Amino acid sequence: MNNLVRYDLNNDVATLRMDDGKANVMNIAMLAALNEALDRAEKEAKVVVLYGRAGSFSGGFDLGVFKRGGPDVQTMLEEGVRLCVRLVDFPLPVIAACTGHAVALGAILLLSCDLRVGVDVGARFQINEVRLGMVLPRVTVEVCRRKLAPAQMQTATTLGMPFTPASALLAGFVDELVPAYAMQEAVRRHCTDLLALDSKSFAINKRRINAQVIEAMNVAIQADIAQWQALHMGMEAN
Amino acid sequence: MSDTVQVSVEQGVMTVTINRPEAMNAVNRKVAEGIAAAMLELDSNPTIRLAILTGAGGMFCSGMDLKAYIRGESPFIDGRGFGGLCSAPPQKPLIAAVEGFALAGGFELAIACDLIVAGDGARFGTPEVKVGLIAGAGGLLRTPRHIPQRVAMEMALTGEMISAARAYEVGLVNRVVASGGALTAAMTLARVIAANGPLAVAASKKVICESQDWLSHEMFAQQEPLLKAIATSKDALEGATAFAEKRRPNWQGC
Repeated sequence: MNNLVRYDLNNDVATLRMDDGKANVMNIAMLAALNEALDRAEKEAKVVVLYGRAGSFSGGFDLGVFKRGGPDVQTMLEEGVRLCVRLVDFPLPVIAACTGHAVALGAILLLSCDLRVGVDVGARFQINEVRLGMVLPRVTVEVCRRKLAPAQMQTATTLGMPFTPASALLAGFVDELVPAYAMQEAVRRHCTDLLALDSKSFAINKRRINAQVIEAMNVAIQADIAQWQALHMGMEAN
Repeated sequence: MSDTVQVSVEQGVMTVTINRPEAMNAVNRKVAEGIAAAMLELDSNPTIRLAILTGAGGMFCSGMDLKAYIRGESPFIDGRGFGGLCSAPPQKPLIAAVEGFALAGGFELAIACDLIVAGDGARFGTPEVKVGLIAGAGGLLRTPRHIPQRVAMEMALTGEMISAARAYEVGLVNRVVASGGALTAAMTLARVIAANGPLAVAASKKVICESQDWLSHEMFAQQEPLLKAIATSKDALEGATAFAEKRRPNWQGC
């Protein structure tokens, strides 16, 4: 396994620590590492914690891949949005330890988790695609609709506004704010709490609650993939 | 005047900018001297009503320049204290426009000001304890007078930063605006203050600051001379007259 995602299993809790040394960008390697870690967690854990690194949860897709172009772009996009669907549909509770910035796909991944704890100072939350002249994949729109407060939907997505920890809490990016030094303690507390849930009924309940969203996401992902394939083959301008 | 501290005046409002973004606006001798000189000019120039203190490059100030200090440069000015400000704030109002970090000595510069406007990404803190020091330039003395003691205690003992939102919650900061907008917002605030009677504004600041040391049974007596001076000023008459005549006052400053 590579060292982009450190996997630790402790008392039925699988902690996935993302750390690329910088912004935790979602390139093909990172996405593969996350999927591999989730494969393991699904088999042997009862709760999953998706942990960022100091200062950054995830900065989203690797813009370098976009710049370089080629088939990697589509692969990265597909894997990225598939990961969002996977997290929303994951049979175990997923806790996000949002240790810093959550930008673009990074914010979407955060929104795809069940319970999100954020640091109370220094993090920026922003779905900034529109500010980069980029279009939100349809599947990410479904995730936003699911978790963002209606009042903040437009400012967060269409306008791509940045949110502070305090306003992110109100907008629904996170469920709780803690000082950075208290993140581990908060995560531990939630793990203890969620470990008490019956795994089987949890999985069924989560699927029931998310049934419509998953369906919408699967429809959206087909449309996204079709569009990206057409783009890649030069059949569509946008 | 050195470029290290840029000073400009616009419509009676002075802007003092710590200009060492490559060094996170750390306070060395030149910065302290520059601020001291600006404060002297602020208080002695009758055309200047108040000042804004800010930092260049999207951040306020990261505190004392340690490297300079080790070389023997003192950021303490005789009679004025750290940064040429902390021990002897000016008579006229001072607004801190804070973006980014206001840490350690930088935090102390900010709380030496009368008002603080912050960008929403601003962070405030006194991390001195993390390196075995204490915030001796007013960080421990002023903070518990400005915000609730428990919060001041937490800041001092943990050395952890608080966000602009938290700072606003506890009353450390007067206004939080979108990141990048602090200076503009400070200017807007400054203009509102600058439109008011100059003697009255200076006297109000003086009473608020000095009355902290006045005992309850004598505080009105202590205030009396200031009150009398204002009440008998030409500007007081002009203010009342302008109000009655539904026009803007023309302040004379006497």
